[in-house]
Amino acid sequence: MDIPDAETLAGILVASFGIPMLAMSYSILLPGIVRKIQARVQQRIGPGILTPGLFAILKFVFKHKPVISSPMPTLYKWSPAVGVAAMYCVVIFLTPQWAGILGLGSMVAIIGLLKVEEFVYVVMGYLSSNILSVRLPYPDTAKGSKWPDARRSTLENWGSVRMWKMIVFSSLPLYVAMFIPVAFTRSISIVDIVNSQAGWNCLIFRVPGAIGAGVYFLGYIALLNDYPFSIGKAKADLVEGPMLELASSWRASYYLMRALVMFAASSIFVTLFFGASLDPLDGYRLIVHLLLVLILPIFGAILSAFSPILTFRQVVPLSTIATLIGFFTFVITVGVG
Amino acid sequence: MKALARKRAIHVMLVYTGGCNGCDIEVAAAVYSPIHDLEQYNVMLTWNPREADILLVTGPVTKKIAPALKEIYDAIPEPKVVAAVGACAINGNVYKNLGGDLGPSSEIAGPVENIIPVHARVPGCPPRPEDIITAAAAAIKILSERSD
Amino acid sequence: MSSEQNDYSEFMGKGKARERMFETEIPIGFFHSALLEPYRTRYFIEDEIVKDCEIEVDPAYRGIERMLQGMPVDKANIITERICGICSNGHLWSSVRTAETGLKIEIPRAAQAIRVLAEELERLHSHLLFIAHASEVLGHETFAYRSFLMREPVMQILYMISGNRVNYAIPVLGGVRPRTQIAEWKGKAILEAMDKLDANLRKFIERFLSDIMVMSRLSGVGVCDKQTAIKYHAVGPTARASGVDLDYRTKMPEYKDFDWDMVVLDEGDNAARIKTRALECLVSTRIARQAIEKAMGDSEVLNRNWQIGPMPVQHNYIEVPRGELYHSYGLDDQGKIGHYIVRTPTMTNLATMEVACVGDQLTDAVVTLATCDPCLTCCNRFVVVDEKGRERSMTVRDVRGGGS
Repeated sequence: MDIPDAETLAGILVASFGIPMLAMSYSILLPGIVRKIQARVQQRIGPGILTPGLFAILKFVFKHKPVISSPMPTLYKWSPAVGVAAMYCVVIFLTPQWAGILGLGSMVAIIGLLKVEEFVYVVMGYLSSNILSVRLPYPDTAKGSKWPDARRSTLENWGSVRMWKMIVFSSLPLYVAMFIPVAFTRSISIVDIVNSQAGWNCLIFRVPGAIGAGVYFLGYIALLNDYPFSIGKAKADLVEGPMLELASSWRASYYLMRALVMFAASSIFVTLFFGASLDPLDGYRLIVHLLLVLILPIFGAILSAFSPILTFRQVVPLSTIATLIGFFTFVITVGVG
Repeated sequence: MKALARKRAIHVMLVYTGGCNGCDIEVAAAVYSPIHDLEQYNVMLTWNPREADILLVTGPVTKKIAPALKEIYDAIPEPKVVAAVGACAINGNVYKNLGGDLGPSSEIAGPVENIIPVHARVPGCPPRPEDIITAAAAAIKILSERSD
Repeated sequence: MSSEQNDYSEFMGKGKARERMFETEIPIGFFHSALLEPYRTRYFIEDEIVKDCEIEVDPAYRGIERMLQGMPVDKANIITERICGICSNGHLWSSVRTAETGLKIEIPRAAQAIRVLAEELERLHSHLLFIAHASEVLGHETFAYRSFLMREPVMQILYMISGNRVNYAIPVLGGVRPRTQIAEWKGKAILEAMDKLDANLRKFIERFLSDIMVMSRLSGVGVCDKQTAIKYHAVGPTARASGVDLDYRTKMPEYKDFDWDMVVLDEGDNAARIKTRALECLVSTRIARQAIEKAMGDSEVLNRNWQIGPMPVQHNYIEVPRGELYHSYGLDDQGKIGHYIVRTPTMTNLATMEVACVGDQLTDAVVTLATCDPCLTCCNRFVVVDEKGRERSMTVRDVRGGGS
């Protein structure tokens, strides 16, 4: 392997450390913007823009750490950090500087890391037991009750099972939509996809790109577990699902993970469908990218304000239809384009 | 920095301990009614004790709920503030103080301060949403002045 | 509180085979985002489908009937109206009406009209709260906020009439509290507010019932057909949504001079239960307007020419927002209460829902329980533990037969 020259090395360093720092500071604004838009739809003044993101994270960092009730506390507590690391990697692999290194600047790496993040929820759910469900001191299995020796699941366990199902059904639209630009450009390298859309020749302005963007949007909502696809952590029956027992700094890391997922998923969208890459050395492109990153959260906020939680009765057909639409668009693009 | 973060992002958890539900509806009106809208003061409602800073307790604590209340209180990480909302939570109201031939109710484990320490009290039967917002503001002040 | 008989006995095996009927149990505990009151539900599920359900309502038990033993009626009213914060007028009116019927106390016409007005306003705010709660349990926060926004004018009207938003204490023995008399200027202001409220309510109900995603969650779920509703003695809007045309207001003399319709739907699913209550809101505004017009003015609202005395046990039924409410008590020769019995509609409604939520997914089952509008603080009135150690709830037949 030939040693890269100083300029390339500097570029890689800036991409590896500067971009994630920028991503983290920008992403903690996104939950606040989402909440504010939802509040305005609900005809009220919501919390301040910095509150659900920055100040909530800081507040949790300053709380005292309680004893987490879990069979494997260390794994449970550090799972969100694994998710944060996965998103860190997604963001740096999107930069053009990482294009040639070990083949990591490609779609395969991005998809794999997103899968890791989805899997974090499943792991967390099996490892926690909050006071709110099984451990509440109540004589449930007293004489005279129905089924006194039933096997009991905590709310988090059930959230995990649902997250498994979400991975099976509702992550497909996201991945199928991500392959439409690949079909267009005939390459899985991100730099190639970006270069093929140079000069505002964006994929989203073409029909297959627009369809792919719609399917990606559905997949984005499912990835974030926002309404209407929030069955995995349904507030109506599971309170919060796998994240119930997280407290203090570990909850802060979960909030950070969620904000970063929001940013990373939007960043992938902007890179693939608009061709604006996350290039630390090109100021114009960076600013365009950061502005376009706001599109998906804003539309997501409006959709989530107007929808209830959909159960698997509705989620499975919806995801299947979205996947099929994406798949046919992919096939047609491969055939025609 | 600590005080600023604690002042600008507060999570409130509502715990109902067997009261008549009037106070719970008024708390719900304070949170969910766009006219009162507690969220505009950066106070967000949560149902998870691990996420909460302020615990709002309504209702006279019945004996069945008392252990659960104690567990929920213990599950909240420090620093925490407890606000007793309504006359039942403050002194038992009609259930503990009024009674006929057989005396007042024997199912009440007492006002909230018999079970967990209370830092703020909101009188009223039920207190109006404006009073509940005032109580939240007072509790925020207590929280942000804690130095640990 | 277990249902009297399981409907699916054909696939219940014996012994060990019974345990294999479902995969796991999810307890939804006292404190939960879907519950506004402390109760404990255990759902026994198999791959998201609820196979069985057990509801325990005893956490909120405060021993109210025992407290009221030996109290004079007017003093007992302070406790009676705090049996429930949402239906406080219902309990208070029922208690006062029992003594008045038994002691044959005359009520002035304006006072009757104000009592009907209070009950209809309470029905309005209770149904709007229910719609907000059901939306919240569905996950639709926006409708919850809009519903609460619509509910505020009703609370303001009640505040204006009585001086408190909740626990308004309007009826007293012999009439209503003199402060709640409705003068001309007040009546006109309230009528204007009612008109505005009516218009907003219509728009909101149309928007709610035409939302595709919400209706797809609600239709065909939690079906309770007419036979089940009758068998488990469902009352109120829960029964009327399943085709049972039972509304106690048709039998109450106070409602004789009012022009109103009973809302009965046939489907018996969650959507029907919500629709019944939404349409009943519109009926309530109609009755409320007529009641204001009857009550406006300076006429007498309190009759003080009566004597308290002994009274044998008197039964009393009225229609509160959730169904039929039953109070009964007797008075000894000093006029103190003896043997108070309160039987609230939620007891049987909840038992009906325990059966109706079987067969749906877990999230839908939680919504089904919420759609019967449970008010559990009223509900802990009596649970009998029989000799075999099983709990069972009391039916109207037991109550009329004098069992206690």
